[in-house]
Amino acid sequence: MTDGPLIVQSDKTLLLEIDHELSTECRHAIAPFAELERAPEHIHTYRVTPLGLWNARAAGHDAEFVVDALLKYSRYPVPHALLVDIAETMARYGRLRLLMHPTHGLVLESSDQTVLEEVLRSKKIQPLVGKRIDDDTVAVHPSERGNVKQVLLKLGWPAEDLAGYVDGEAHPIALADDSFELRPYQREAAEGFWHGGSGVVVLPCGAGKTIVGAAAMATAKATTLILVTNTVSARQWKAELLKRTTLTEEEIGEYSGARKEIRPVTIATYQVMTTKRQGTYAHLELFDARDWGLIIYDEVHLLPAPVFRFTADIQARRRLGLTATLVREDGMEGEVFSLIGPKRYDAPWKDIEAQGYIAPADCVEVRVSLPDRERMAYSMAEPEERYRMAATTSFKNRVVEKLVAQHPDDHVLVIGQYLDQLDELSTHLNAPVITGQTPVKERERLFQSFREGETRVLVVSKVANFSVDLPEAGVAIQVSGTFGSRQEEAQRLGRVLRPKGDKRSAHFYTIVTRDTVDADFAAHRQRFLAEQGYAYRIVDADELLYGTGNLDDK
Amino acid sequence: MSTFLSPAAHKPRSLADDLRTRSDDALFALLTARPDLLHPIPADVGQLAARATTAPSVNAALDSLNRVQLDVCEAIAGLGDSATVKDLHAGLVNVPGYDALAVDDAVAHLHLIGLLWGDDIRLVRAAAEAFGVYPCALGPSYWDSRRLVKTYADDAALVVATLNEAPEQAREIMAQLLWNPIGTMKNANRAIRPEDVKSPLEWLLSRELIVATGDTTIAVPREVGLALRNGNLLMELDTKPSEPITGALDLTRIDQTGAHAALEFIHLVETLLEAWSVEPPAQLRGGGLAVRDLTATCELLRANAHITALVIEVSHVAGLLSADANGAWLPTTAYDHWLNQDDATRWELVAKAWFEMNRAPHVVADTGTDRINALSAGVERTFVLTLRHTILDILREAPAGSTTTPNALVGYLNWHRPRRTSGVRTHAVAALMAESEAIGVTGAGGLTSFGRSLVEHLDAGAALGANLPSPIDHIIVQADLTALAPGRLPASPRRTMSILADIESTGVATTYRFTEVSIRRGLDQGQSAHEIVQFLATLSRTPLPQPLTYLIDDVARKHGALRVGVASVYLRCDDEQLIASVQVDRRLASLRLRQIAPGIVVSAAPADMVLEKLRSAGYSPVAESAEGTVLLHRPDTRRTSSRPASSSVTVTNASPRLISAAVKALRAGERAEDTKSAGETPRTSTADTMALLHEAMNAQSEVWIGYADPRGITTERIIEPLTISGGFLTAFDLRSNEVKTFTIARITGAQYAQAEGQN
Repeated sequence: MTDGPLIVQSDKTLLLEIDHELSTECRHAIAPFAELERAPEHIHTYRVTPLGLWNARAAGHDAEFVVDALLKYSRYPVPHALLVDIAETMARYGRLRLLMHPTHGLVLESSDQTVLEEVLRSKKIQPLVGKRIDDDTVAVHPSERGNVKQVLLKLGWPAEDLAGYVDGEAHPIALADDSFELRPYQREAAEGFWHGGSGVVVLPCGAGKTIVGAAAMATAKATTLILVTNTVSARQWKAELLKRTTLTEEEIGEYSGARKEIRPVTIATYQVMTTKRQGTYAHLELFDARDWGLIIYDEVHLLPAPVFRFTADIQARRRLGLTATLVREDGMEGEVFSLIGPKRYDAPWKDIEAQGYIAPADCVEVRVSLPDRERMAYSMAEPEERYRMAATTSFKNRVVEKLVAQHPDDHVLVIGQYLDQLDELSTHLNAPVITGQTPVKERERLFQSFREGETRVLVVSKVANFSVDLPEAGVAIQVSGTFGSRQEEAQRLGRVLRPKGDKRSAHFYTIVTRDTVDADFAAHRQRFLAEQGYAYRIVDADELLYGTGNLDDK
Repeated sequence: MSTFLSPAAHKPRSLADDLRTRSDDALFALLTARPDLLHPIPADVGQLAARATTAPSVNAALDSLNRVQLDVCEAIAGLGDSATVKDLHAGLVNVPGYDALAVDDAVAHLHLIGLLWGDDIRLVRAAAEAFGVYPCALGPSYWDSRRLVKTYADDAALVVATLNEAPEQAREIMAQLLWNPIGTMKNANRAIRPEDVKSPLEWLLSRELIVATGDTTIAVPREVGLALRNGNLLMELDTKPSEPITGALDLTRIDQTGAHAALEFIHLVETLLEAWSVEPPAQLRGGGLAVRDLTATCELLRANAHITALVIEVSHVAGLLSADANGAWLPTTAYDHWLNQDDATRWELVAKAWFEMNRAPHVVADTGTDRINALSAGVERTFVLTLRHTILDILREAPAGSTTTPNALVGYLNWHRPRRTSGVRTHAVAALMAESEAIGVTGAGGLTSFGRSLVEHLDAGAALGANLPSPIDHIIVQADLTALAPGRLPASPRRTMSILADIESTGVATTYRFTEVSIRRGLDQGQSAHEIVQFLATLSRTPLPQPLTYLIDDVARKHGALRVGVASVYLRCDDEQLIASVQVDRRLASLRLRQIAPGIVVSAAPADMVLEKLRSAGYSPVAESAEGTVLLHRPDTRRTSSRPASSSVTVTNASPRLISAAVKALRAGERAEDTKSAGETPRTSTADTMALLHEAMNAQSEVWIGYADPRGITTERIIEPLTISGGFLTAFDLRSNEVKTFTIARITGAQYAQAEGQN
């Protein structure tokens, strides 16, 4: 029995004691195969899943590596059954390989004939493959490369895709080497991706995912299609690329609801890609519009289902997924793995914070009580109305006012879900409001004015959840959200995590109505961040409004 | 001695004759090998032989044979009567795997256990019959009835030569019939001349390579079969047992895995009995546990039905669980004692119970048409006890660190006890290994050092204790409202923690999550917020995070804000708004709440339902007694005083002393038999009677028998035996001129009618 930092549970969770002297070493050893589930202050919980083990295999680790890591750092004996299970699961990856055969084209090859027989008997595989070439090889229709991988993953025999990539149309791109340098983790992420061919890079909000994308483009030196969540984010990508690379205004096109430009580097929104006209996706041919050498998926955890379907057809092109979290509310993590690719790089939030690249944050939950009149109305309300009623209580306005007043020197974002509430807050705070209805031009003007410091307080709806770069924002106040969405909470915190010039920490407030569904949803939303190590403090609104009033002293 | 032939004959005429000539040592060995013959102790050798030749006893003896002994036994059956050891070797010498010594050993063993008798090798009839009509897959003999077959019998080469001329398809058919001598054919029973042949089967029929045995059935004559098989009686001989040990592991690894399982198993027992203390499931009318309760327990233990049934059964056998007078399954007082002991001692008790129990929990998990309820009599399987000990003995005798798999064990057992080969045994072996792994007697397929102590009846608890991590005295509480006990907590804090928090992950360590519900559970059990915080602060190695103390205070603040009365159910509350909102709450409409005074609302619904509805609507009421004090909802933990049912007695092998005594008794019986005077009607021992009847049947001679009617009056009959089977003799009664059936047990004796006439 050693005195290691790790406790291996028989239900495949790994508990890592952070204060242990070997914890950093151990974290590095288990990170390739175990998914971080929770990272509160003392004990981090990792989970060993088949996807995680296959990610490790894709990264070149074998079962022995995994078993050694567990045995080396485990404090207690490791259950034998778990080791056997790990070895068996890992052995499943790579038994089947997708290869480019010199004469037969794309083939599925197996080192184990029985496995091939087993999968070929599946009704789901049969329509996707062609004729049997020999005992170990079967032809695959090139158009079904993605579907085959998807189905094989579901059958529990994930295929290793070694069929290679097309280079695409070459286009000179280089990083602007003056005045800026890649951070070490950005370089590692870009290299990890390029080495693996295709895959996903997981970095926290504010850690500069755009730069990783730019670095990947500079390595590919080919035409690139970038898919982003919305128009504002598209503009930001464009601005960032102009600043960080040798690309010029003429080389970058925007493909959105407003403009339809196809240029060597084209930035398209998910929304336009999934717009249906007469029952068909009118813009999906964009994928074929040029001979793209690289496709970048920003915020891959939000990738809509139709884009997955199309991505299945372009498996010969290099794909880079960027995200802050692989958690998908819809549970389509398997699709990300099989269609975009395995996880190629992952850096925990707190690590990057420790390196000083993102600002530390202070998270506070402010609990308000419903005024008696509203409490009565709440009790009588229909279930579907309850969240809205609880989340938009007018009492929150006073709390927001107080909080804004407490941070007179900071740039403050007030973020909410309901337009009525936002309008009310806008009037209350005498601050401009940006919602989905605000024209793009006006939005950009307001964001610019915020960045430049003319506007200190901005009220925004969920349009600002993603990819809006507002480095000056130091305080975010959340008044309502999309029910219990965990990734939304993470994104909103990300808004204030850009490192500040004077190293001061960011503040994230979430205002919650006690004893209502609002509190239940808030608890669910906070889980992701609490698990990432952001501890919430809870304060009563009364204490805030009538008490000592200064939260920073706590 | 037999009354119908001169005792001067040297050759024994029956098994009884043979046994009489055997030494005391040989009889001792026979009785040791066949303990069933001792129950009850036979009066004399005649009775012993009679019992040793009954079908049940012979079958039990055959069951005890290993692969090679059984094969040799079949070969002897295939040889037929009056064969010699030489014939046997001749019939086996070319069989793949033949080993003369092994065959001789097998013959000696068969003789020793009384399946063979005589100087030649004669198989007792029941043993020969056990191999079916065609032992060794040899068809009936046509040596004396078919001309061609007779020539084949003399010239094996001719058969091969004849078959070589056969059409391709005919040869294929013969190849199929070689080890399966019976087939079907339309219009088989007719003469076919070689020139009329129209099909391969007709070709074979015309050459008498096959012979019709009925209108639609054909058989390969024994002579043809033997010739084509090159005289081989068997397809192969397997004289080497398969290896039960498949690998080796570091013993530390085995011990660690086992220790892990051992801890988990006692945790399961504790989880089960804690839950049943509060909500005991009912005993079914026929005994046992309802399937519904088993399913709920599976969810509770997060285990499959087999392991769940194992935990339940072992708890019962260990005396920790029993049914009380009202038919509820409850932990016993012994459980409380068990609970307060250290882990190793607790494990020893349950592991011992498992080791000695004759119950097969895996049958509970079988979802066939007839489900067997856990804790019912249907779970009892005597053979699993023997099988469990056999498996563990195999591992115990192997070097430390040896590992096995269920498949290897099944292969080994199938060689040693081929007649017991069955899906049931294969299933049971896998189940027993799974159980042994779950309890920690084995780990990773090898016997743990504490498992070995258990099997050898040494101090298994101490052996396990040396492998257990030392208990810990603290937990780590975190801001995300989780807590970790990084090892084993002592019983008392463990119990409190499981009330205050929900368990998320178990293993060596336990992770807990605090929720509003779990804290409320603690408050409901009478702890104050202050006490809870105090308890956690003492136990935690790190300061309590603010969100947790906030949560506890917040729940405590709301706890008891609403009070629900029992007498005529009322709700009262100082908060006017709250009570008003309760009244208008749509979710509570079914309670028909009515305000009777400021802050007081009544309902006609039962108090339980009112509490339930309010809680599910998100309120936090407490019940109130008639005096207005708060009623706590601490579930009563209950115990039964009745003792657990003792396990049933199982037949074990007889002790050498008993066997010696039996041998002495047999000899005494023999002397008494010799002095018995002959009666009017013939009196012979059953074995002699049987031997005589068989002989007479084969010789078609008339026999004079004494036959007792149901009232016990013995009459004489003159009969001609036709068939003997299943304890009945069918014979032609010469005096009444009809075929009658006689119960062999009622035949008091038999003599050849001729011999009697001559006297």
